[in-house]
Amino acid sequence: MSNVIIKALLINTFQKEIRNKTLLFLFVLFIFLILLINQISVFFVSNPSMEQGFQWSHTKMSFLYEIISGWGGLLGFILGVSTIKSDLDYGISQQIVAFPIRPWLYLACRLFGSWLIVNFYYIVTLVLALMVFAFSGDQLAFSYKIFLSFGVFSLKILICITIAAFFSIHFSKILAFVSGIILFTIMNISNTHFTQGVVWSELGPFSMIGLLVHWILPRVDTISLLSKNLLLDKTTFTFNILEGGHFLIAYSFLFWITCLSLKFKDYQGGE
Amino acid sequence: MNAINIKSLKKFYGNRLVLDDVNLSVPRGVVFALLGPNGAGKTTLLKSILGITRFKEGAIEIFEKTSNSYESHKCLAYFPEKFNFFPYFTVDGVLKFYGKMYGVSHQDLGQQIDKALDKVEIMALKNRRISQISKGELQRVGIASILLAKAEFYIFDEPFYGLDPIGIKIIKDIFQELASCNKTVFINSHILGEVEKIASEIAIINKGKILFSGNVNTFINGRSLEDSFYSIIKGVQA
Repeated sequence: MSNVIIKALLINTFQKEIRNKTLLFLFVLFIFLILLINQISVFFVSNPSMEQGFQWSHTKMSFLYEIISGWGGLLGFILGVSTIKSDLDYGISQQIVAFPIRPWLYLACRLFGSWLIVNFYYIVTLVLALMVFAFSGDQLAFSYKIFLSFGVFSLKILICITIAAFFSIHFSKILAFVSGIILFTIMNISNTHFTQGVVWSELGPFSMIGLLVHWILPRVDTISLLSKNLLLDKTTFTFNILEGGHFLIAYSFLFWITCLSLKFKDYQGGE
Repeated sequence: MNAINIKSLKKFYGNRLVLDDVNLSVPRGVVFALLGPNGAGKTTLLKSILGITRFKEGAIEIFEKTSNSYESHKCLAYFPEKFNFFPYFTVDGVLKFYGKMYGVSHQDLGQQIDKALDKVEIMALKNRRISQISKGELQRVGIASILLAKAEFYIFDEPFYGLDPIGIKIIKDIFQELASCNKTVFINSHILGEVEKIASEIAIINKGKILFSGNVNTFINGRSLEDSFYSIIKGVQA
């Protein structure tokens, strides 16, 4: 029975979110962006004097990563805001919670379904970008590391979706989107700042908040760095068991507070 | 065993008391109607029963299980005041989703959907999108979705909303049929004339308080339900 419900909810998530017009628009826009980046790089490479100064061709893969990562995160926020909010807006949430389904399972199905959709878009975009660059003569051969890097990056997408879903339970779509991006930025900055270590004597009130965020929420910058280094074949960074454990605990906490928000949402009277 | 037992229920919205010491029992296998004027607390009571709104004090049990528990939800089916679904889904797609959520097996699903559509007389709409059907037709889709449930306790919030006389007749027949199979039907409605014809048990609520609960014939005592309802509400308000 539970498996049937999980499958039904996952399929329903695909069916409702795959038609998201914003995603389709961004997808088309991004294809143009890839072509534009490629043309600009071709221009720099064909003009050695300019290329020397800009070193474009050497950073092309890195640039590609940054752009696609940014796009993946953006898609995560867009879908994350919509996945629970659209249920609430159409009055479907209260019908779903009246079914024999536990709130955490409903939330997990919606988040996981959205995560799969964003991953699908992300893979298609990555492959398209690599194809465009390969056709223009770059040495960007397909490697298993691309997929390894993608696997790690997809954790960041999951975080974006969950944060956006959390805010969407409390706020309007736009406010949830903005709040999610603000929190994500704070998480990123805190993570970057405190990864090198904590100087306790220099901690002010804002730094304390940053440190708290660094400890209790998932470390997005660590995930980005690992993903990027895997893609660029740098071996300077090792993802140790402690970081993996921290991610599991911190993500569980984020999921738990989102689940509590949904569970204690008061669907007030209608008269 | 009663289908539902509510004991000393209190619910606040901020400082405003919307359900005031509500005590109510609904016997199994009856058509029960909750009646009251606008703002009386009917929908809040109904949502409290469903466990989708929180209450401060009291207890609600569905077949002796806590109302917001997973176990109690396994035996209930809920029809909201304004049934709705994503507009780009077809009627068939909506019913497939509901059927799976109610645990109908893949093998039986198609047949059950056809049976439900046939019962509410909207077979012709099967492949139509939700955005392409009328308000009354959408309500019928909602009723068809409820028919896919194998529940013991059916909750209908304003089931006559948007329905034409044919639709009203169909849904009344469905209520009677469910009750004859020992299922409990809980209706929240304003349409007293229709309720009088189908409900055997009623409760009257006003300003969050239960003014009457029991057999409908005892309540009306030879008069019409409308007159009796008006008297009790006016009596309290006067």
